[in-house]
Amino acid sequence: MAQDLKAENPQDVGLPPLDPIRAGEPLLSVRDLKVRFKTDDGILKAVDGVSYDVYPNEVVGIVGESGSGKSVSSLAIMGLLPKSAEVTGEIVFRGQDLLHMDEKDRRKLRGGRLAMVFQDALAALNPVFTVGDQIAEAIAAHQPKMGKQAKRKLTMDLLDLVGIPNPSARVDQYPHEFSGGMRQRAMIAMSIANEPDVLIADEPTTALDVTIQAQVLEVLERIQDRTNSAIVLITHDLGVVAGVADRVVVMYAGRPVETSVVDEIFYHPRHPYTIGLMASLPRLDAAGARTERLYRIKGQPPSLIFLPSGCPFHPRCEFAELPAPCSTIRPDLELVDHTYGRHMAACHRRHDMADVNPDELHADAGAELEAVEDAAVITPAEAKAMEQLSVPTEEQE
Amino acid sequence: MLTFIVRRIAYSIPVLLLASLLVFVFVHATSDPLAKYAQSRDLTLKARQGLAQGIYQQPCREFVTGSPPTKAMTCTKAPVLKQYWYWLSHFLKGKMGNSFVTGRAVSADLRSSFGNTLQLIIWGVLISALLSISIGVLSAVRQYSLPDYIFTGLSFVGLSMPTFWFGLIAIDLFSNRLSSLLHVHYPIFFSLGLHSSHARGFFPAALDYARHLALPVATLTVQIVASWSRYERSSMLDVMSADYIRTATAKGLPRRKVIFRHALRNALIPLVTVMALDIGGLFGGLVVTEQIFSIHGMGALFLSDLGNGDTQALLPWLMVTAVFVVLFNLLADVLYGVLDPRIRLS
Repeated sequence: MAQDLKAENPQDVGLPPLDPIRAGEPLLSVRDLKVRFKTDDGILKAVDGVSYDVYPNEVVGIVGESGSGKSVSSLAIMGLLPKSAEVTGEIVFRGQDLLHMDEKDRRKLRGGRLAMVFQDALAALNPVFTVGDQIAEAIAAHQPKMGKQAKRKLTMDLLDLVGIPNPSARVDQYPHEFSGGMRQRAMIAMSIANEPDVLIADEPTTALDVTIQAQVLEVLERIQDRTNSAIVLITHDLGVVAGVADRVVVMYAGRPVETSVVDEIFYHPRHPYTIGLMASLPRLDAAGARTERLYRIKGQPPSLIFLPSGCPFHPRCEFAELPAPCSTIRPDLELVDHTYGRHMAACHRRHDMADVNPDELHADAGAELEAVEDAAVITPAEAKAMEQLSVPTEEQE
Repeated sequence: MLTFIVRRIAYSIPVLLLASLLVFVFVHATSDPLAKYAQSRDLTLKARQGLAQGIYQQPCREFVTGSPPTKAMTCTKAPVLKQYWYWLSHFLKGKMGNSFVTGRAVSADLRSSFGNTLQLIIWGVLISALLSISIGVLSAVRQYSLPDYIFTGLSFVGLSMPTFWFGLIAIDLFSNRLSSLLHVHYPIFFSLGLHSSHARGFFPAALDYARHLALPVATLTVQIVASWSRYERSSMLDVMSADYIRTATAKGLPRRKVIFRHALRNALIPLVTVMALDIGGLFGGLVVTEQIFSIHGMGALFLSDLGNGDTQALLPWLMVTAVFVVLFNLLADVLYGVLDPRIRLS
């Protein structure tokens, strides 16, 4: 029989009735989530039908470029979108429908059972309060009965847990006295203060340099081991996803285009967008990788107000069957031919894509297709570089 | 922090010295003290001696005794810098001399005027700060709501209304018409001075004081609130869209706490600076308000001294207002450091 994975925190007060956490049952289910903003030009569909589940103890990576709706969908889960956003669909957290919950109950979940780590920790921490104050405040919001000394002790333990040296001194410092990596860890400490069931990390490593990124990711993994939280990791960094995530959702133009376990996404991508992403990764082991120009997906992400017809990726897709069906019918997420890891892709040609090897995109189609574009893009920069080079020559004469 | 304050005070000293030099040179350039001296009829002996020493190289008997200078005893006028030094060294010792016109001690006039102005400033600033912070927060939190539009409209009215006009309207409505409306033979709100002579006992005196202060303080408050509430609104709007406000909400804090603890604390930083600078300017800046409500404050004193060409009284007045401008600049800097830990200086 399914066993309850986690006892309720006795300090929690007045929470809405939540289902127990059981292995194999989703903690958080997002169903057909849509977020729309009214703008002067029309309706902006920031998120246009997103569905995924988060199970206990797993790390779900959500990958996509800027404007793919990955951050907006997570803000919708937290209920942090501005009032101008129109949110529809279903977000079920432990049996409770968050979108139809009253604001008071939702606030009690926010930062307690459901917590979020933000991207830019310098901006996300209040500059006029000490780091310790801000963490203690997060504790007090959900465990009001805890005494002042206990709160301070817990705050220091949290700072210690996320690997901040000398917590007893750091607790009384202001965010600006922390380094970038430490701020991000303090941010994580704040978000796990109430041992959330689901922790949403929105690009937690983006503003950090690579060694610090690794440390922060390690902290996230350690926390997950300790607190049994599920983590939703939002990033545009495929390296981060490969290292940490169990399952991956690839998003494009407000919709998931491919989802599966992490190995399937990396070794058998079936959506041309995912294939393009994989091909654009710098590889040290592939033949000719050090000499060839990196592959890139041509064009720009589409406007979210005027989405392309059919599959929103078709104008950028090298494998599109034009005109039909790619530019006429928008594909839904469907299982690909083999079902390992519930591999799903939203592509009309998902079965044909099995034969495409992302590593081979380096040499052929990519380079040819971009030849014209590259000339236009690179000329001003090259011209400038040449201009600068010519200056000393003239002086020598 | 202490080092910062000490250093900042040290910086203020040359500023004030330069101000005193400029004030002295310009006042003397616009008004000839000799001419004033000749007009005056009832100067005390002491005043004449002081005056003569300040302006002339060697003391001239004639000036001291009052008889016109003879050709044999010409006195050479001291250079401006020497006159300045004579005045400054006395001023720093608290010796401001007597007025050329009234013969009264300048320091006594200044002290009583300052006290009256200070009362206006304290009440005006307290009420203005409370009102403008509340209005600013309300307008920002409910941006583009009906109250926001109403307060925006009112602040434009307040900013564009001249003080003398608002003051006169206030006197007419609340001092004259209100009384006739209520069929009483005394004004509900007074429009002259700060006290009545007949009020005895604590409560009657306090009530009398409030009835005197109401109109001038309201006139002052309207102007200040109109500008401060706009500052508070815009800085609050800035802060409300900051990432750390979203973080505070994400922690599960109630909206009240997000606004008053996280947002207001940050939004006050620029406003407090503006407030401190404005208050510094008020010590010499209430000329019109005081004139209209016949309050013998700094503004009224300045007008009468200026009208009389009373340089002996004008110089200390200018210096006192300069000191307060510098002092409140200093206060603004210190408060900035106190409120914003990022600016905390060692």
